[in-house]
Amino acid sequence: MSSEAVQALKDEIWRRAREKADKILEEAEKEAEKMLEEARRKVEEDLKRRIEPERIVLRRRILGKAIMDGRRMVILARNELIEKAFEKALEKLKTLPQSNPKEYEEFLAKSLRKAVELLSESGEKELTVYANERDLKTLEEMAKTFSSRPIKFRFEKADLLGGVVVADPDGRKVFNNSLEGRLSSLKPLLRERVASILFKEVKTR
Amino acid sequence: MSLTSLLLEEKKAMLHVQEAKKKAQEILQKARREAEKIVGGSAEEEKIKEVLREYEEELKAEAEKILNQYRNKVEEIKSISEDLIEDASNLIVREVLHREL
Repeated sequence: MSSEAVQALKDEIWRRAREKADKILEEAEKEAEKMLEEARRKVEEDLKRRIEPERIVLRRRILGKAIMDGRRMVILARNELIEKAFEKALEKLKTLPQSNPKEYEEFLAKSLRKAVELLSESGEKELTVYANERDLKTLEEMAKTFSSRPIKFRFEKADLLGGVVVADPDGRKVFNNSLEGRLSSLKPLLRERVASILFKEVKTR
Repeated sequence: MSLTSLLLEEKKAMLHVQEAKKKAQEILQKARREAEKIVGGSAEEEKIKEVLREYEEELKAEAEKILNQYRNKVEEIKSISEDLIEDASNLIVREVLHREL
């Protein structure tokens, strides 16, 4: 065998050996990287599994509180404005006998008439009419128009803004048509309508 | 003579491969130890706390944005014109005086 042929064989032996060694190392590196990746993935998953419930609780607590506080602020602001409208209405009702005496007298007459109708229907022959000092005289005159009914009226001064409260002698049947009584009983019914006037251009939810 | 030298070369080459195998085992062992360290890391509790702390900060910022939206709505409500309050109070007066007694 010539020395060139021997050298060629040696080179081939080394080429194969190096190739094999490189392949072994390359595969080991890949396998090592895979192990580390798997470990990191496992840790991430475990972390996620342990953190997720706490994240949900935190989210609900912090954002839930913000939404609740925000809604409360809006509701308070709405209520404040609605109350302002009712206060303004009350002021107008207080001055109605002076600002629009005709309308007020009509209301007074209607209130007394309705009370008499309702209470006399249930057989009452004696009625006590409560009103403020200013209205008592007017009501006494108005009562005379019920002369066709056999009813005895008694008039009592009361601390009312306006309107009447009519009751039977023992006070078991009471018809409250005072301005403040009507305002207070209508308030829950009117709140939504008042709100729709005030907030028609504001999206509050 | 040349056959002997070829056999010697073959042996050296095999040793080279053996060396590579040994090195590969070391690489894998090192990786195994590192992986175990990652999985059973003692810093995990700290990591959880840190992640949650960061998330809490994000949520607080988000909550502030939500509250600002509501504050804007409140401002809008407060800026409602006196005319509308006047209209609403007129409705109330009308109802008090004229709703079927």
